Amino acid sequence: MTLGPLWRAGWPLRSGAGPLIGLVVITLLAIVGPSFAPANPLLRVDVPYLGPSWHHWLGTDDIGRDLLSRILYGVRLTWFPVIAVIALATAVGTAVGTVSATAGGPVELLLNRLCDLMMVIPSTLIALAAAAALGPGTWHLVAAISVFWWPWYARIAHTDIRRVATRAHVEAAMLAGVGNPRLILRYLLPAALPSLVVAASLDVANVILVLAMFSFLGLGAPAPAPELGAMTARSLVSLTTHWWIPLTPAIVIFVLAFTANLAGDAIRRWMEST
Amino acid sequence: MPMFIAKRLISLVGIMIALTFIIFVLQQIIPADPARATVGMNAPRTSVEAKRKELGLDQPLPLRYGRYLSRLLKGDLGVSTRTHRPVAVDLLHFLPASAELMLAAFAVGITLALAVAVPHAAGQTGSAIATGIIAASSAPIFLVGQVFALLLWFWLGWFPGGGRLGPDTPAPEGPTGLFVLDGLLEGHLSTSIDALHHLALPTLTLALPVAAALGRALTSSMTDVLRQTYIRTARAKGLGEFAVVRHHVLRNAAPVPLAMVGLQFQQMFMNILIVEGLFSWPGVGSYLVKAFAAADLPAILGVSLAFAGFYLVLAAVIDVLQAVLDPRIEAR
Amino acid sequence: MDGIDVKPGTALRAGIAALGLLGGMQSGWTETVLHVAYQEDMSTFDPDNAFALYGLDALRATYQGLIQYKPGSTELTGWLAESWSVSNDGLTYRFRLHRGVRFHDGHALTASDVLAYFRRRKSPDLALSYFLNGVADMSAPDADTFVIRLAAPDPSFLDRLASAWGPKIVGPGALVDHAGSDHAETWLNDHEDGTGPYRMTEFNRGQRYVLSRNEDYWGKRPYFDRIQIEIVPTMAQQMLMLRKGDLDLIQTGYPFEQLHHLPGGLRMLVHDDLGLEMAFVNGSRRLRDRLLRKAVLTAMNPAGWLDDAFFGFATPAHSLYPRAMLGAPAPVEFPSDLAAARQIVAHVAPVSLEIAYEDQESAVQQHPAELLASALEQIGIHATVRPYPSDQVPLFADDLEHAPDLFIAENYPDAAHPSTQAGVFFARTAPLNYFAYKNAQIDQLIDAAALVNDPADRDRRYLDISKRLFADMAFVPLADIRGVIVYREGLTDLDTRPALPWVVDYESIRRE
Repeated sequence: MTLGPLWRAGWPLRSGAGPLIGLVVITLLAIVGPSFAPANPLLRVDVPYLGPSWHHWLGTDDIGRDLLSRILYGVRLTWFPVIAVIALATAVGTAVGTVSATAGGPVELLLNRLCDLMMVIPSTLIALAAAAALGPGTWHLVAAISVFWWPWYARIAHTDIRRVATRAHVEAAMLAGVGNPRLILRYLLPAALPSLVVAASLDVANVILVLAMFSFLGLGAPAPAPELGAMTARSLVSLTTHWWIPLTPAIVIFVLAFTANLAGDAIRRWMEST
Repeated sequence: MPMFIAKRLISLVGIMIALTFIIFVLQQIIPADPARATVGMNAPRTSVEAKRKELGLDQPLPLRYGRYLSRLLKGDLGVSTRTHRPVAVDLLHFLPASAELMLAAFAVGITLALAVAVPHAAGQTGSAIATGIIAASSAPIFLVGQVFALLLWFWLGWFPGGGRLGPDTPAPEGPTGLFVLDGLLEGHLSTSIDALHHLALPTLTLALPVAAALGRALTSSMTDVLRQTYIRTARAKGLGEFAVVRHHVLRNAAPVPLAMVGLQFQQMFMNILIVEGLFSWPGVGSYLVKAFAAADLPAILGVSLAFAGFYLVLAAVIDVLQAVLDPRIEAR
Repeated sequence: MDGIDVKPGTALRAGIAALGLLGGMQSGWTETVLHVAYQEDMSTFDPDNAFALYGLDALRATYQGLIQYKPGSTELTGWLAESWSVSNDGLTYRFRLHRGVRFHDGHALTASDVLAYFRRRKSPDLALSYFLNGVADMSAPDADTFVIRLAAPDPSFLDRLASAWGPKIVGPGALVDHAGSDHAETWLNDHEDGTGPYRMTEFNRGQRYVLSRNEDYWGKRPYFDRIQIEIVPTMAQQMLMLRKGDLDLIQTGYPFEQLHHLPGGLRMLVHDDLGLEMAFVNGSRRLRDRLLRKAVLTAMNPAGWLDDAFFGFATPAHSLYPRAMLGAPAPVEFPSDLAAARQIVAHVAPVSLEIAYEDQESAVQQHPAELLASALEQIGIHATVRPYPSDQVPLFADDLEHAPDLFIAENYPDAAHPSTQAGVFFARTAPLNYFAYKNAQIDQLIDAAALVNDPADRDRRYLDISKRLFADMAFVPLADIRGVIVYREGLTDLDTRPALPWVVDYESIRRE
């Protein structure tokens, strides 16, 4: 049996199972990985620039910290904020979208304009303002990014709910006297759910990359925090002499984003086929 | 149509005003001393106070907002505390380089996206391409740029590693500031070629996420369209696959990716910060990064305002274009 | 046969000549251009406004002052002034100017030009006008003589004149022809009119600066045709360019840890610098307690982390002055009882301290800051490290309750005289006294020391000030950092000077 048909079928990468399992693995890694870290990621534990060895599986970085420990903490420092941003953005976005779709009239107009405005302001500005006003930090960055991330979800929620609100069975329910909260929960939200899930799952990779980029520019948690983007940025000077120090965190970011993208793609195809 | 455009213009102005207000508020809450920054670290207290008065920093908020707005209308974006020049002047100086880069990146990105999406929709490629596109859109831009630089400049030496021109090429005086264009206008072909040579790597790096995102949007959009009945009709008429794609699929698949162009512009605005730094490209991106480092508020806010303004105009243009392509939108 | 009748011999000779010409052109091009890079733009090329550390080498190549430091030393020698004398009361300085000096605008240098320039330098709205504080009046009695009279004796005056930021004569082509309404400030931002061996022929912000040899230079003709300065903000990129040959040298910023892995073809020049790594202590906040300060000081002992931070390119400081400025016999003695320090910390409520450094200095300061944090962790203090934008650093003194607890920086004094160090950091009104340290006695000692002429007495007094400041734990001298220039093999005569940070002498540098 040749690999041809299999590869064309996209197995194993594109079938849903692989990437989704990958997401689970990453989540587990983010939760328990640091407990398995061989050393404190913030402290110098050995001579700098040691190559990978039994003692230090990924060697030591330019200060003498264990690189593997820093990467393990780095995964957590990436994954948790990403989940937080997505959760916050979907929650706020859905809420705003629902309100604007159900309230109608001037409220809807106002909220829609607000969405437009938020989507226009350059995100870097908000992140910098947050970092400057609140002090640098991962969670400040999360707040800053969530602030301009939710409008996209609000739009999606708004469109879907609007569309569904005019359907026959919803009108029937309204006539039957079903209260607003129940209306929203049982009829409207479920209609928006599929698009929101797809959007969120496709979005994970974007947030990973945006966070990595801010971290690279130095807008994330301050040193010596083991943030993957920052780790790459400050060790680029070692690129030609000890390439694994800057490249490993960058490749880890790539793997995270790639897995998330594939998973999002799989979810989208699954949703579309049902 | 005219009503639509008029309505769009009005909301555009409204959003712009709201934007200036937000930026003004940000200016107030970020801790920095613009007066001190202009007179320098060694200056005595009295000079700082005098400068404060001169800048009107001791006046009540609404008055300052008013002053701010009136200066904006005159094109005054404030004075950079780092370069000590008006931000508008700095912006005009660095804009052409970024414009050239962004234009090139969009052109290359769209071309690449089409080059991949069209054959894919026509069924000519395997899913490896689709996976490749996904991989390309998962790579952090600093990794992509660094790899390109290492590979194509440092090891192979095929392209220069930074700057817009080589040391022996004089900069064209040109009207546009786009060196490739200006070189041609001046009749110095070698200048344009050198500029293109230097443009290659940063463009490639910046174009990759655009190509990947547009490619994904196009492929899924085109796949959707392909399932439609009128496509079957076209095929039944005997049109070849490529012809089907060209005549019917692209036009109908266009709206979604078109909207994506706007989003990609936003994204490119962020990516360019990194790409310009990496390739020593003297554009607005590296200006902004230096402004971050120096907490040069007027520059940060000024540039962001200019970009947001431009993006708003772009979004309005895209809206109108979409309405032209799909009259149904206007009715909504 | 039609066409030009060319004898084979002629053709051969022509061919060889052509090849030789090409070859000569090629090697001519690469040999007489020096490729250098800056990480930062110069905000201005005006020698009276350029207070930054960047671009001093370009300024030195185009502008010249009355006197200068000798290469590799803090001894003074003539420059545009071929000789000078000081009156017995220390108030009057007479400078005898070189003959035959021309500005880049073509005008011949006379004492009245020097006078016009010095008057311009004194304008209070120019950032570096404070160099001439204390000047009572100036005159040009004849074409070759320039006289300055001070209001009070100032033994450091000559050093100020020789400083990298000191007065550098600007010609009438700028001061007269382009005076405008702001004594040529606008024009001099991106143009120059000096007397130096190079002219600034291109000043393209953000991109590159080009210095071309001044063919009418009054001094020794420099080797390089052109100095090409590219703006390359990323050090990683500069390093790659150096390896590849796109750059000829990196004056500053080459990561210390990488210096031990220099690729073939590259050399390093380690030279004395007036850079002193210091920690400033905020005594108004969490470190108000003297015992706690002592504990912190114990942990801060550079002997424990210096090599990790600077990889052998820094030595523990001997005093609060750079060693090239003022030699003290032995390294500063830090308290060494770590156990006692831990005890002290354990007694106080949970301590967390903030170590700050200037954002723009991250490349150099992030390492030591993190190592310091690590060292403080060892005695039980939770330390965080935070970079601050340069503009926020002067604000510390305005709000000490919320300012960081420690601020570390590598500082460069204006010139080689100790009063430029003390006056800038330790006095109550000193501009870089970041945490507003106040001590009337120290101020008196500083004022007194500034008047002393005898070098031995002077040094003794300044060292005494240093000891007192250290005992009070207000300023902590950490390390003398060496300057390192990494360059491609074949370059020589870089002629560095300790008082001129990061400056390679373009007048003398050449290829072997």
